[in-house]
Amino acid sequence: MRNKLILAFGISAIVSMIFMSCDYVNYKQGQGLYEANCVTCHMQDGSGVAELYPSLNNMQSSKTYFEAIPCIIRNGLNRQESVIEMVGLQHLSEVEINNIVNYLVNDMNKLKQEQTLQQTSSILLKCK
Amino acid sequence: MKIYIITVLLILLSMCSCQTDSSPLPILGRHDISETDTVYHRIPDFKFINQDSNYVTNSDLKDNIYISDFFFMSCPSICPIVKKQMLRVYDKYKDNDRVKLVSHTIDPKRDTPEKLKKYAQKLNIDDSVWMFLTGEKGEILDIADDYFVAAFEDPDAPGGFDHSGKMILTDTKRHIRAFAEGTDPEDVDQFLIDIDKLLVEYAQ
Repeated sequence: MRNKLILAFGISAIVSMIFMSCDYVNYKQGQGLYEANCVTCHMQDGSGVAELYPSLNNMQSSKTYFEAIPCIIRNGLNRQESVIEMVGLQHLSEVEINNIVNYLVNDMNKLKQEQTLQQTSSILLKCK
Repeated sequence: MKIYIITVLLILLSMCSCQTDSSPLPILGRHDISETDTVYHRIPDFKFINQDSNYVTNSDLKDNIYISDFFFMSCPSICPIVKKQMLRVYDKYKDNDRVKLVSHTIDPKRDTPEKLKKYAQKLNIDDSVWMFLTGEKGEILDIADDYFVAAFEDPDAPGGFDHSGKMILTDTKRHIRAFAEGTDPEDVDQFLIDIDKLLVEYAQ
């Protein structure tokens, strides 16, 4: 009887762990930084607002994002056609920017690709 | 005998539970009650400029119920989420001729009609349904008062203005009928029900 109880608990624990892992966030710090710096415009789920505040949750490939986003986070974006200027987040370190980028690609967009800190650093060096 | 009483009670109970709240929306604001009449709070005359640089006055909205909010384009805090919720309202009622949306900028110095036009374009909205209004700053802040919205210049606030993210529902008689906190999607769920309820008054 006791063994059966333990077994039942064990199985339910494993099952709930499997379910919880579906929502597991790999880049916790990236998520926290995203929530602190980005959600007011890009929304919690990254859906943005029409074309005013671009969505971040429909990435098709990670490549452009890995290359473009670090510089946009640091320097902001004020293209001629954009109505609302994004202000650069100068206070974020390379590590923090790297974590946000990896959170966006891996957790928000479920693309299993990671950018290393070295890669982000070299991209940041080349920002226009 | 007992069984009859129970049956009747059950029927009465089921009738209660089926009844939805069909009472009309209240008229909000302070009312002046004179000896002969009640004078309800109403939105005063206004004249603003829309994103197409045309004047908009009350008479342009005399047959419409409309949802208004206050914002400014460079607002770094609550405006994007409120716009997202206004967009929900727009998407639901854009094909209903009775309903209009009216967004007032509180930063007329920077948010010119040309800029508001571009802003509207980026939202992909129909200019005849959703108006973005600017005008003389004092008049804008005064009308915010009439909508019971806090809006004022504050150098310490992010972006230079302090304002609330309220969405306001006004009827054809310029009476305010409902509010929503535009930063709270669940509050806006209820607001959409309120708009439906007000539309029923015009259904006949």
